Amino acid sequence: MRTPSSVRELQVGQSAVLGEPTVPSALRARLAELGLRAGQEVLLLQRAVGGARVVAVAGSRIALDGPTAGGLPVTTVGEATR
Amino acid sequence: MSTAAPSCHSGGGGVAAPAGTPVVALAGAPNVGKSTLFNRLTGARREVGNWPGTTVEVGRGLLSVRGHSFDIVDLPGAYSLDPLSPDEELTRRLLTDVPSDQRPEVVAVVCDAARLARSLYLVRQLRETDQRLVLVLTMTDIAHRHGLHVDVAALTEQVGVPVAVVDPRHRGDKDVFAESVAQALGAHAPVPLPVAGDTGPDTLALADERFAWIERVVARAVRHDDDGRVRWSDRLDRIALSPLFGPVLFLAAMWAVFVLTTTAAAPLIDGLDALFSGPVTAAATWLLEGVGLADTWVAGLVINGLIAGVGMLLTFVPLMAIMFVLLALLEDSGYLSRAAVVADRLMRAIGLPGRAFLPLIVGFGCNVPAVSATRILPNARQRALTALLVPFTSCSARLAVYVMMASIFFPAHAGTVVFVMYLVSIAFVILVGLALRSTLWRTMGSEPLVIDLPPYQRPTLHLTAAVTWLRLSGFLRTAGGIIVATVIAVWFLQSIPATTGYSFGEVPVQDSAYARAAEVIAPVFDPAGFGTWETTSALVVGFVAKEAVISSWAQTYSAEEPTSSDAPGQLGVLVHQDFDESSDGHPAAAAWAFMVFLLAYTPCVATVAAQRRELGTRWAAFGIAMQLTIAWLVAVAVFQIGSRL
Repeated sequence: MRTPSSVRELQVGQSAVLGEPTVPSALRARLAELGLRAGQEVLLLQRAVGGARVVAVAGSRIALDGPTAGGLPVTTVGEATR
Repeated sequence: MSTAAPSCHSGGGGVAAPAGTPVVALAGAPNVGKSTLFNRLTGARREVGNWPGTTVEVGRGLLSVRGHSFDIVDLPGAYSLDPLSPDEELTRRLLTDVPSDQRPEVVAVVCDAARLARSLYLVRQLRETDQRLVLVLTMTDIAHRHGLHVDVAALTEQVGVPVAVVDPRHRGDKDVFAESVAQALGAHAPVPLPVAGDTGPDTLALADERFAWIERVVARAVRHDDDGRVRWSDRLDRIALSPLFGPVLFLAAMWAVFVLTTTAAAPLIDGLDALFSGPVTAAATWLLEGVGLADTWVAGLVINGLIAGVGMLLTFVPLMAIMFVLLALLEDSGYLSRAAVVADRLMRAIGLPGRAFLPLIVGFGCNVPAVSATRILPNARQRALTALLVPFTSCSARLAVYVMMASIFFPAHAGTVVFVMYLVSIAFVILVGLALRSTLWRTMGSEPLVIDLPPYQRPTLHLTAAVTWLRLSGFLRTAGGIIVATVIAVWFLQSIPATTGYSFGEVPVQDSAYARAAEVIAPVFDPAGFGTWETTSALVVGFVAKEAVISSWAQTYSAEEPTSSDAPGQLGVLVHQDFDESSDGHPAAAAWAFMVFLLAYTPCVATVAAQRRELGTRWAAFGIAMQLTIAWLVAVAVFQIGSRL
């Protein structure tokens, strides 16, 4: 199975460490304020309605649309727990 | 410290503080409980809810406890001092951009204990200044449920400012808050944290330095008892945000709100109607006879004007109260943020982000704060488009008219008819949005969906009651102000004779100036099946406020039929007769056309004023013209098609 390259490609229950986001700088700053920045561990909780992704990061639950999740590259991908 | 003008619809603030009282600003990320804390501290009633963007303007009030007095200012939510939207800009301006003598003496940064790292960026930025700070920790109960324990002593030491632990959802905690603020005021101004000299302001390197500080603070002050990764909130989200069940649940929730509202309110409405048409009218008549005014214009004003009009309006208070309670429960539970995610794909189709759903949802309560709430959107063109779409969301004032029309024309399916009107409202938002998006807004880019989902919470009685009362009292203020003025204006016009042979107050309503003016406009509505002067005049009055439509009808019909003035419950029969005649025997089609017109044309003058404030005169005028045009075209189409089926 192909290794996920971004949050968008993670399986539900799979965790990963974020790389440097490739989204526009203003959005990058907002994501960082919410905890979505390089080096942080995220867990994909759900593939939601409309292609959105719900991730757990630093105690928060953040809903992201598919393209934004695709702009969050991941490294050190863990095994899916569910 | 100066603040922007508070919104009359968002509750403003409480008791004003005397001059010289130390100013304490409540700042913090969205949805950490600032407005709830503000209400607890000051007794004021700001709009509160469990979703981001509740505070879009500044409110202030006095906190007085145990010898301490503070002027509390509630700022809009901001994750940082690097603004992405106008409300965040306002927070930055009031905290750092104004001259130092206009800044607050103390900034209380409200932090969510369950998501402390997210709240600390703003704390860190303010710690780089000499601003006196208090860190106010909320939601510790939720943190405990998630297996998180905050060591307050360690947090105080790491951040270097007093820490106050409060629980505004369940307790007052005024003294805890006041003691911490007094401690900050009594101490020397804090020494600013050093910033690496070569990074410059707001660069990525500086941001990394701040995040590293936050990680150190969290590592030393927060203990995790378990990994706590999947919570019951997440399990609920598997349903609420599911591609299959999410939209179904969303529609089911909205449908339940409106069916519950109409069915539960019906007996209360009937009871109040009987009270006003029976004992209240009889008592007023008896009193007027007692003072010798029974057959004068004063009796007409009191019985046909104030009692028939305002009394009829007040019978809908139970309806409003029940709907506001249900919407408050949805807000406080955390579901509305999920609804924004569910709606995002739909909103994206018209070029708006999921966040734009939030002001639109507010619009279903009242359009005026909804127009102000568009400030949570970072893009000016998105704000303008959303503010022009808000009036198509069916506010609670229109609900009263739907319920009345449905009970007159479709008594067996009243709840379903009202629900359909809300679906029509959503369809208007989408279709008008698509039309504007493909014409005037065709160059606008789309906004990504990034929504911080608050944990689900069991709604509290205090918050539900506070939000319900805030909205209900707003409705009552309208009833007591604009509506009474409108009722009197209508009575006055109905009392002016348009033909000779009558004196003031003695003229039959069909020969009054009111009827003559409405008759001039009425033919415009002939193609829509409701071209009578009685209905037209109600719609003209409805431009001022939709609450006035029913009272205007009540006045018109009771004035037109003096013998029925003791039985305003016959209003439905008279309205039905009117629609029968004006529609050539197709009253149901005319009723649908009327409800659609009522939904789509200008909601009230207060909404127009809010649009003018947010968008300027030109766009507000554009909004009026666009709505009248759309309303008329669709109403005519509904009647012409409906009457041929």
